[in-house]
Amino acid sequence: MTTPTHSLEHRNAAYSVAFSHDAQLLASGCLDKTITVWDLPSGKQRMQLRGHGEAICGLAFLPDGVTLLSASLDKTLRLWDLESGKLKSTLTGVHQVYLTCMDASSDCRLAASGSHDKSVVVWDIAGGQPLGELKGHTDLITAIAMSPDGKVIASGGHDVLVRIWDAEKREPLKELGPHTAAIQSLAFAPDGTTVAAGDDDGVIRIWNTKTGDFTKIRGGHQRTVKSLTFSPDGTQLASGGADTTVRIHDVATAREVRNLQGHRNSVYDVAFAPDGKQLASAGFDRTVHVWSL
Amino acid sequence: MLRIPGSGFRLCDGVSRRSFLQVGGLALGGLSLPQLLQAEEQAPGGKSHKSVIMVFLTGGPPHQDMVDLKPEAPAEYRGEFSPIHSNVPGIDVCEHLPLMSQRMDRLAVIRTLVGSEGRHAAFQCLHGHPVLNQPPGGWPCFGSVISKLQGPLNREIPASISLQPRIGIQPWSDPGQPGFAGMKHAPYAPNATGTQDLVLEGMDMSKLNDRRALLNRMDHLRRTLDTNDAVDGMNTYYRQAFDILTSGRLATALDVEQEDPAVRERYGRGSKEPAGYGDAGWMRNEDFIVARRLIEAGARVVTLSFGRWDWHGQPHGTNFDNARDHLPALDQALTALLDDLRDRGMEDDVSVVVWGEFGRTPLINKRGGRDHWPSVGCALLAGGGMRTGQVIGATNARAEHPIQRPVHFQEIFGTLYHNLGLDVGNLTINDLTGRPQFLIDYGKYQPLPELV
Repeated sequence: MTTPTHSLEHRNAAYSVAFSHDAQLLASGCLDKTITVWDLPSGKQRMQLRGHGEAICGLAFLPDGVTLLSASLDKTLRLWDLESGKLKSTLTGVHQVYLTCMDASSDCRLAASGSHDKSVVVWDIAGGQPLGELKGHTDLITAIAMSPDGKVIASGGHDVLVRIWDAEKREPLKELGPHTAAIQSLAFAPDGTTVAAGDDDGVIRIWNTKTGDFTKIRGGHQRTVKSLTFSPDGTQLASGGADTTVRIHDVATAREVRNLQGHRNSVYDVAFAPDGKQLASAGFDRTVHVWSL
Repeated sequence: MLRIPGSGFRLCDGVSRRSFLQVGGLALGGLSLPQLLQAEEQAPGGKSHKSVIMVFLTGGPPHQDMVDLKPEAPAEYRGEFSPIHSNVPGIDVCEHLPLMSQRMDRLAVIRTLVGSEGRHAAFQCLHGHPVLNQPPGGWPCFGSVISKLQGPLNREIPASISLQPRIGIQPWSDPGQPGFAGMKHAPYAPNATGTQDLVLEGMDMSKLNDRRALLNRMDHLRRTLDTNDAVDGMNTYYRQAFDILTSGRLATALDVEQEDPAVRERYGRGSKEPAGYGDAGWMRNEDFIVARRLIEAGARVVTLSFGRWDWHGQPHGTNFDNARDHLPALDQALTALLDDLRDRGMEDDVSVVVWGEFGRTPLINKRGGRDHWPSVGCALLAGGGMRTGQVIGATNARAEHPIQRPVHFQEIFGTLYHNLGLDVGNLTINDLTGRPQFLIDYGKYQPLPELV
């Protein structure tokens, strides 16, 4: 049985996790409104960032290596200077209620967020402002993904559809689905051609965003798929579930290849290290596990 | 708990009572500890030291996910958890309460708690009476009634103590109001808003780590007090407050650091961080130890709140995410307390009740949560010489409402009063108009005959 190389403890549920581009840092966000930055490989806490007014639901390191982007249920995105530990800027003013999910392009120039107000907002991170709202969902939005090149956004939620959007034109491109239950997790493959969607029935489908065809991952989670992420080379898909497991699937065969057990509660986020050799998982059990693959 | 700032201590000329002893947390409504003690002086002292520990599961625990699981119900009702057998045949509980399941012979489960007004308030679990149409002065909480009728067991420990911490949602913070029992019977609330500390002026915080220095300083203060004419006129009750502080009995009882580490480990630790997402109190297993220590020291009633059980679902975790977080902690803390009380020979004297202000909706909402459900809830009772190892009441197939033996909050209170030796059929306290008020609505409710 695989055991984590690190088990990093929060004081409350861990909601989000991200590796820095050089995999020397790990950031994790918590229900208690804090962000913790950890040194790797030591696993020691480097700093804690405070300022958000609600749980931290999304994190991304900027390519400069010293800036962290965070998203919170408090309806804001924030940029943090990791050298000083200080807040650099706050992006706000669009979402009306809980911002529940956020993803960014690989260069972090753009980001997209989804909300319980049923809207998707596209953000110009460099410019520090919203670019526009995408409206079409008819129910709560709980999952979002942005293609690595920042051109396409996928969003999903309680209306059981995955909606594909043109990020630049801010227009709908396609509807994928319906799933049989609410969409709770989304992830774009590195090449941007497919998006994986996990739902409340424990089902994962890998959708072709152009054709609308999908591959269903066999086996796997017994309950909600809370989180998804592709490996950097796109050959593997990791998922975290309400059944407390982290599972790794071979994308080509759509089969589960590993089942990582160690969490004692739902796994809210999963993230591959840039070299694909480590995986981090954030759990409602107040723990972030780092797994060596 | 005992805060000793660095400002000067002046006794020799013009003693300022306020500066002499600045006592926090010992009273509500502006009454200081000395005032409270002054008021308590007339109350008769108790002998048997029957006592009660009340655990408030802030926000309303999900009865159907704890002690009344419905595995045959449709998926949208039954939830994610499976029942497990207990050591009492026929009583099953949630899989996340394994320690409790092995002590079910020492617990009584109420599956049909009714009478909730549906309000988010500790009020419901502090006396069981309705919020509306209260008698003049308002209903006193359970602890205040006990303080009024039985008084403190000794002069160093108040009769009623609330460990309620500061909580974002004010009604959850209520440590218990004294109502028409009088402010003098307000629970001592060391963790309540703005009253976190016992303060002795003239001591430096650094000395806290040097217990010998602390004791020496206390002794010095006491000697100075005893020999200085300037304090002759000092109100007797300030002297009593000083007795409490300098005797160390209360501070010692509150200081969990003095507990055997092995015992602390059995209870689990928890933390003082707000549970949930910041608007609730803490989930601190060690409060269960403190409660036991306070009872041992002489308290008659100790109340504590534990966690945040108001689980409406995403985006703050589903009902089941939160239950997987809270239930094991409660399981550990409560069973450690029960074992501890048994091992110390206190089990028959100390009644323990665990409950919240209402149950939660049988139908799981689309965010994976359960909402407020005042139609039925649950309670756990233990100790106090009660007949445990039984379930009282039954709900329908979806845990929506009682189909057998509904149990009102006031019946629980009636049982607790009974366990403390009080005759709820005869005892009254006058409200502010002088009209006698029974402790519970005795015409309708009595102590539970199944338990007493």
